[in-house]
Amino acid sequence: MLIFSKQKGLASFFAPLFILLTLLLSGCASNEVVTAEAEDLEVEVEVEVSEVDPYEGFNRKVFVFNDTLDTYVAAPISDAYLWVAPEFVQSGIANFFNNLKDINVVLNDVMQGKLAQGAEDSGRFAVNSTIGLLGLFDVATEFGLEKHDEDFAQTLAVWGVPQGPYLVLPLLGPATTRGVPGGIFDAAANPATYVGAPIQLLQMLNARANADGELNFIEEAALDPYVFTRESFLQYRKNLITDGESANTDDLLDFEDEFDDEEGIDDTASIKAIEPVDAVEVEAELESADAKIVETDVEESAVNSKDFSKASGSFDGAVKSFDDAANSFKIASDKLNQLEAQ
Amino acid sequence: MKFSNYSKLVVYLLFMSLGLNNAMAAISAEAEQAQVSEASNTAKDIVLNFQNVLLDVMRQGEALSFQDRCKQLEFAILQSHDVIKSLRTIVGSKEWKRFSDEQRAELTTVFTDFIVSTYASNFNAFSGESFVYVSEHTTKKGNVIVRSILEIPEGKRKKVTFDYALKKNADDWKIYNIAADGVSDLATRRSEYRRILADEDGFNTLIAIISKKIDNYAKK
Repeated sequence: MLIFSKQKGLASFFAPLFILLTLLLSGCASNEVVTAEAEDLEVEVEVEVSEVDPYEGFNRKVFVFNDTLDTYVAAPISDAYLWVAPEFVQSGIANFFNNLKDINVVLNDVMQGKLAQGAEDSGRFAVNSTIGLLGLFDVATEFGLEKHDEDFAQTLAVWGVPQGPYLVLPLLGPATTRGVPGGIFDAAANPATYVGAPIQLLQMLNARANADGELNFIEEAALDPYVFTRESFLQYRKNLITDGESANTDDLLDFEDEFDDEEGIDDTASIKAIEPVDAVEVEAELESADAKIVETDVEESAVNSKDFSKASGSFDGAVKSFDDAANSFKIASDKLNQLEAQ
Repeated sequence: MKFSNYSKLVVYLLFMSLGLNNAMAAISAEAEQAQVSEASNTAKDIVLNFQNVLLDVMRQGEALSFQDRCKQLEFAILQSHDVIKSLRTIVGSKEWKRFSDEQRAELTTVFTDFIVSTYASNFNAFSGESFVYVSEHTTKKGNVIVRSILEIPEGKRKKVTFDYALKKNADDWKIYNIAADGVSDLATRRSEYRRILADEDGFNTLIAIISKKIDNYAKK
């Protein structure tokens, strides 16, 4: 599940364009969702999800838009690159951009108080930029200097900034509201942001090509690609923030175990009426466990929903235009197929 | 900065970071040993045996057809995984109790096939991959989490951390969850399956979607 870190490369190019849009999105449309939530209270899944993903309706549209754009534009270019470029060229390019990112990693090491790791990552950058020929070769890893993954969104999390709602951004993909200022900082701290468009396009191509395996895996394995992507993104980010300890601690497993215990061990047990009190308890436990996992600030989003309820009209228009754009990609592709047939 | 100063800085940073790196490695190795001596070894054995089967199937690569790989892996998965426990946790206790016995049997069969085909499709070639055991620790509930790292050496060098969660069932340790780089298989599936089951005729939709995924793997 390394796609998300690698896709962050895209942020450097598009971030400034989407700051305004994102700020708008972080507030609007919750009015609609809140009422929907009230109606569906008996459907437990809806209640569970809405805490992390209050803008699911909008997010799903953008997800489809991004997916269509990827299928018809990014994937063909990336496939061509993977087919044409020799493996050593691909890994050289990947190493080059990873090396530039190490500057930002060092900054964030320091801001998170990880001084030992900061020294190690400075060493990485120094070694790879010199012996590694401007980062084309990752010799530091051969020397035993592990690559670390730090960014400003993680630093914000360490500083106690709440995660905020889940967002799917046009072209940029999965994020949370905490990830938006994070992405802007990361782009500003990456030298690739300040050079010409060809380098930035290459950076995007590299990011997409490196994520190819993971994106194919999602396509094959996910029953609901939107939910699969959201869940794995949020868990993957949490794992990065805790430096790999989230899966090694008891939190998630506790919640799974409690759930297990409520079920009883007997497999062949006949279906009997569940005591209502039990059911409520399970529900409450689940909700509190989920709240622990996602660390969302529900109250905050409730306040936002009042402030921004007026904006939902213009929001509907934006959603529709994403639908239209996705459709026009499909139509264009159909036309190309027709041309080919002729 | 003159070149000589610059190269001194490089060397200085290199030595400083290597020194710290070694010190950190020594500390974590000690902590690891302390954990291992407290925990049971059988959970670790289950995981290592399963990983060896995976690597073995990968090494045979092209020599095996998709169906052959499925056969070998199904045996290994049923031996080492508690598939029903995972499935019950994924769909949720309320939903599971609502199912008829036939529905439970059907879903269990389809779910098991899906897990097996996912493995058979993704572990189909060998390019020097290896699993490196890292640590093992017991949770408050008495379950064991075995951590290991999959190292992919060729081409795009990559490492994926796998955390296997095992529960003792009668006398045997069985895997009931796997987290890859912190992404829990159980939690991700739980959100997907419960979303689908919440819809009208959710059960049949779920079976249909999973069956289609299995077909796609077989056709690949």
